[in-house]
Amino acid sequence: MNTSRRDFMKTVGACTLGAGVWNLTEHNPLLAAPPKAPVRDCPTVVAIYLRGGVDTLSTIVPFRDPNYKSLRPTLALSAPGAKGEDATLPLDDQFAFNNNMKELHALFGKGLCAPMICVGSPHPTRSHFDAQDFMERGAPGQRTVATGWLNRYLTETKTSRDANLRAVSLQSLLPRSLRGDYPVLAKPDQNADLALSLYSKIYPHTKSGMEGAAPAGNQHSRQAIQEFGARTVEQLAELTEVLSQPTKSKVKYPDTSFGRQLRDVAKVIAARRGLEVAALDYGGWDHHIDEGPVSGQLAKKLTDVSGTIGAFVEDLGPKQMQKVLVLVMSEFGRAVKENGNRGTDHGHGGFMLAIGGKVHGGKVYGQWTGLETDKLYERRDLPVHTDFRVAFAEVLKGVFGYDAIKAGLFPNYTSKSPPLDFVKSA
Amino acid sequence: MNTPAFSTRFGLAALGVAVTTLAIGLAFSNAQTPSRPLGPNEMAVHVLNRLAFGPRPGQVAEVAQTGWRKWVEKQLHPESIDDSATEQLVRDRCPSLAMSLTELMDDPKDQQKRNKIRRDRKEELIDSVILRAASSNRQFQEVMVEFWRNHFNVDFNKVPMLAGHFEENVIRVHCFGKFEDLLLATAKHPAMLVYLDNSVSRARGLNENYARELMELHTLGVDNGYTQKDVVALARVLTGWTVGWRPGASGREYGFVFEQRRHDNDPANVVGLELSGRKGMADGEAAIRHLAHHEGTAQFIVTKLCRYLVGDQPPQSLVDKVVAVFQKSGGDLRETYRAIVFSPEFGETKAYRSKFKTPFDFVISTLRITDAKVNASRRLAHELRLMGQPIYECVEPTGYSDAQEAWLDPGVLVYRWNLAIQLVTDKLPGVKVGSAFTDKVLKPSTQTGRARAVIDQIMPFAYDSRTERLVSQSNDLRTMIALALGSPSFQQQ
Repeated sequence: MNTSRRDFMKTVGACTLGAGVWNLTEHNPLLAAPPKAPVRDCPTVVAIYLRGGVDTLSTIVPFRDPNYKSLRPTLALSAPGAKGEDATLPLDDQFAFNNNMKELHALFGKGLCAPMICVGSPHPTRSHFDAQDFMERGAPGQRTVATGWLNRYLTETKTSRDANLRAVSLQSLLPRSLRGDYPVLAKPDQNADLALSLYSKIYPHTKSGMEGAAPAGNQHSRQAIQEFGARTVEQLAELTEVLSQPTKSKVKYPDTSFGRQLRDVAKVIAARRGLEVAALDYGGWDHHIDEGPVSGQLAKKLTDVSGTIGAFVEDLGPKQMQKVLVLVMSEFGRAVKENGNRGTDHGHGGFMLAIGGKVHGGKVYGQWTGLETDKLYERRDLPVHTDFRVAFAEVLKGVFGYDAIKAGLFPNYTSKSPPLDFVKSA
Repeated sequence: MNTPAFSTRFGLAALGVAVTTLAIGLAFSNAQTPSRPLGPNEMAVHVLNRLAFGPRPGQVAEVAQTGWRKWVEKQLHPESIDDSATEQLVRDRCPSLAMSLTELMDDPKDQQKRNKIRRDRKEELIDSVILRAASSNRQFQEVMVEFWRNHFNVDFNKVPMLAGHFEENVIRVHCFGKFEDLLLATAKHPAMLVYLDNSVSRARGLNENYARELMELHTLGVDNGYTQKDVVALARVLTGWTVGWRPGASGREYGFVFEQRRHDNDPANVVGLELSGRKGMADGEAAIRHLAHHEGTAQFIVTKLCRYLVGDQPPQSLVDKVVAVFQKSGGDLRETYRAIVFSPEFGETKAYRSKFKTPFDFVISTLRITDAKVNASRRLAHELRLMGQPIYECVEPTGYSDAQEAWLDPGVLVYRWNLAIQLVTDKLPGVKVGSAFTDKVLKPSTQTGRARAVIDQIMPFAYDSRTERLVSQSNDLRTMIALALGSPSFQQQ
């Protein structure tokens, strides 16, 4: 170490320890006294995005379709009751869940799970990134819409009394559906006490706006950073407090990051801090090679999703689940014909799953027109019979009593898709 | 260069300008101030923020003195800048970067040994990325390597043995050359062929993945003049472009292979280009060259470059001018960069500090301004993972976005704040603040003087009076530095 470095550490060391600013409580009233968080019971939507385009036909299997096996020579799964580990789990006389979705199948049996088929975007893109953007923004084909549909809902209905934890994401980067003008916390997975105490001064909670004059053109940018910083300080203090409470639940979640994230969502809901919207991303569903629906890549992921959602429902219990709706989605389905590598390429129509006491479960929703080439989208993919915005709107209507269509939440929405009616009314 | 007299002069000048502008700003607080050309000091800050990963200690003053144009001109010719110290360091610490594809792929059968090699390669690659970005004298080259690394993204976890070779022999070799050459080099590199599955695509077993991304992400941009038919046609034209071992001068050699047996010989039309289907690999090359020179590609690439270098919403007038340069020069990237960075739109207040730093920008600029010595980059790699931008692990072929909306959420700032605190409290394993920085901030004998030095170094000409006030009010140097590094202004470039 050279002299000046030693000087530096010495100088800074001497005046640092015990200096007020490093003290956890002195500068941060939020930490000194936990925020006054009223107990708020409210319904909650948990949006789960499976990124990469989940293969519908390996998840919700049309086992009776005469073309299914020939389109999927290596990937087709067997009908329910067949011998072997690829036997699927029956939903009705046409469809069955992948054999790795036992918990979701049980929820279906209890009327708590509603699968929807041939749901998707009216836009023809097979690009992951466009399809995800369009869907998460609730604006297919409209590149000028830059905010997420859930964020717009929060923005449109915000009041001065909004809970700090009205919306959260339990991952370090916010999903696109929650991006926008309404500041939503993306939870960092690091301890933040010291940082909060130091930076709450630079990022004070204030409506007064920016101090000092930034040169023209970039005020907006700094103002945005300032505001997001202030929200970080407030929201994180409360979220940290909620998550640090000892857990009462005995339910075992899968030991996966998705499992841990949903366990934390359950904790925030159970704490009754006014959580209305939570969203999570789950990546890695783009199986061009060796899809593995029975025991490979897809199977492992479906097992995780099913096990985690099963644990979540058990954890919250029937009473709380009455007010919760979990919506599982992906940007598109995959081509009905498998490719040359025991995988599938990007397709069009996909599926969704809705779980919770709020759904009319136990029934497969959506129109099905079979796998005849003539009935397929561009003769290769499942068609989209239901615009995803129909499902989004029914969720907001049923859970929050918010009429998204009337409120114009989806710009230029003119879809003629028939309703699904899978959510009980608010 | 850094005489005390100059530093003082510079410090006073900075203070003067800040105070003046503050007064003006307050007088017109609610009016929309029109964009004006940046002054010479601001311009020095601006080029170091945008065309480098932020200034090193004292560097703003240096560039302001020699003139920013001179600095930029030199940076446009990275080969003219001596960078032997950093390159030596990379050679010593990251030997796998110099290996041939054959050496890289000739790994032992033993799974444990393979895993170890894989881990080492990853660490070496990440180490080299951080070392070069933080300490290379060819800063603009590093900034453009980062751009193309994301444009032609490959995910280390899918191509562990090949990603480093790809950066070294494709991105670094061609990023100041012609776009066409860069594009063809990516198309023939095993890392790209494996990453986007073209290596397994056959006439009877087509895989569309690469063909789609080649048009959507690498050339035309999404929905820009191609259809699903074009995707299939291009995928067919590119069948047989794969990887493998073949006999070479000194035994077996690994690399790009064109396999006629897998190739589809049908005639095809790719975005208006008719191909006979009989020319084998040459048909694929023709298709790729056709895409490289397509009008839509010029628009897409130039818009993306302007977003990266000027601002998230670059003026269309600028894009149009630069598209003309790109096309006229036959896709010459150096000429294209030059057209952007010497444009009036680049040097306006509208562009100044208007971009939100990506996590990578933040980490590297922090290392640069504090003269940090990185003896091990493992911890930094971990921090970048937490911030959502692990190096060479972007799963999506888009690469990482450089737009504010992609990175600015409540919560993400916490990682930056924690990093700043760890760095100043000496708790970031493998990373130490260096003397070029400590010399500068310890030079003044008063706390006020030190606060001024911290502000001048970390947030020069930021006009951020709240942070400046809080920094000055602190009686603790470490706190001052951490506050400045975590301030709104240091998140901007």
